[in-house]
Amino acid sequence: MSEQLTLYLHKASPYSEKIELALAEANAPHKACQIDLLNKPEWFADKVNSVGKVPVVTYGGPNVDPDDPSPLSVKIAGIEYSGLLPKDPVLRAKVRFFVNAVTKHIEEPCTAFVQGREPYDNALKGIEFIQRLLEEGRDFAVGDHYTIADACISPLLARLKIVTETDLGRASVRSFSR
Amino acid sequence: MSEQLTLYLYKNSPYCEKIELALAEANVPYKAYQIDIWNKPEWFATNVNPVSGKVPVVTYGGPNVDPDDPSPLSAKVAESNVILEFLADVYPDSGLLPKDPVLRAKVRFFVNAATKHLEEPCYAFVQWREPYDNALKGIEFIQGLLEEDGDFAVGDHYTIADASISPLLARLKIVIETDIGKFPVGMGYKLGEELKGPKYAKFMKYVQRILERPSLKKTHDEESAIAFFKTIFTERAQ
Repeated sequence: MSEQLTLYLHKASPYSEKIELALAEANAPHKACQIDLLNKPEWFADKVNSVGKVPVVTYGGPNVDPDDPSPLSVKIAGIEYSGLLPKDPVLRAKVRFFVNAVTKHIEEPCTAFVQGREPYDNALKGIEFIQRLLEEGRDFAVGDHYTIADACISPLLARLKIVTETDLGRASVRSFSR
Repeated sequence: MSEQLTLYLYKNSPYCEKIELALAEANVPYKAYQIDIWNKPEWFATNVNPVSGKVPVVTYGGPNVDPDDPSPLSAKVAESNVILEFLADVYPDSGLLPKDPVLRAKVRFFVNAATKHLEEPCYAFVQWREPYDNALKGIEFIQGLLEEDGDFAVGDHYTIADASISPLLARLKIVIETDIGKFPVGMGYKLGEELKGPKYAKFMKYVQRILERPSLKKTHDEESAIAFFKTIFTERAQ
């Protein structure tokens, strides 16, 4: 694979982090370009992602500087950039089920808790649900290799650790780490 | 591929319909087993879907048993969008997903967008949790993704993008034609009128073509869906 790959990201975004993790674990050479979401360069919406969000990947086309994107590269947006999946269809389905479950059962309730919109009960239920999917004594969420299942949950777990250790967040009652 | 495939489904579920459509378009032989979700058999949660107990679920591989006697040796796959991807994996020549990675990404983006921008606001409107403004915005967003003048959402072949959105579109048609829903009387018709405008012409053209497909006509029982809606939407908002 000698096509150029450029990742446009924001360093605090967990969604961008998923892609950074996947690229790092896959040992995929790539260029990274930080986008200041509060002060986006004009060329970003014009030439990279008309919706203006990160992460976005440009793939192929000439090898240009990230701030001079070529119209010839393909622009890929959306949360799941695939590349780290097992070959076996049943294991792939397990990975996708895990990713789906993380979004549905953990991402939403955890975000809602930290923003003070609801108590952490649903987050705990979600954690229990995900725990049931994990394999005993294994290093990875599914199978014996790093997959997009691990990449998609890791940024959330890193932020969950921050919340439980520092108590930062909009929750109105002081909570003890569990 | 001679592995057995069994689909456990509930006939009025749009999520199950996605799978039926994909299987029909891919021309895959399979066994279908109706689960009465209001009265689930005990063996279903224990032996077929212990994780969430929901439909749709497919079992794949293992010995060729009767659906009501599922084998522990088969693989069990749940979650409609996960099942669609699984089918594309085990039937790689069906065209359910293109071979080209960039087109595959377009298909996945479409499925993601249909769930996020269309499914949620449409169901929220029909259940009268909100007016139809977000549904219209979602329709515009999806319209922007559609191929120009194409029969399909992405590329030139039926994909899981088409399968994932079709059941929703079939139900949207029911809502705008019959006004059935929890929203105030007439609001379904009003949405239908808005969708007749030139602003949504591309979307409505795609809807019409996708609803004419034989696979959908065979799978989607409109009368049953209407009857089902009538039983769940008995109260109307004022």
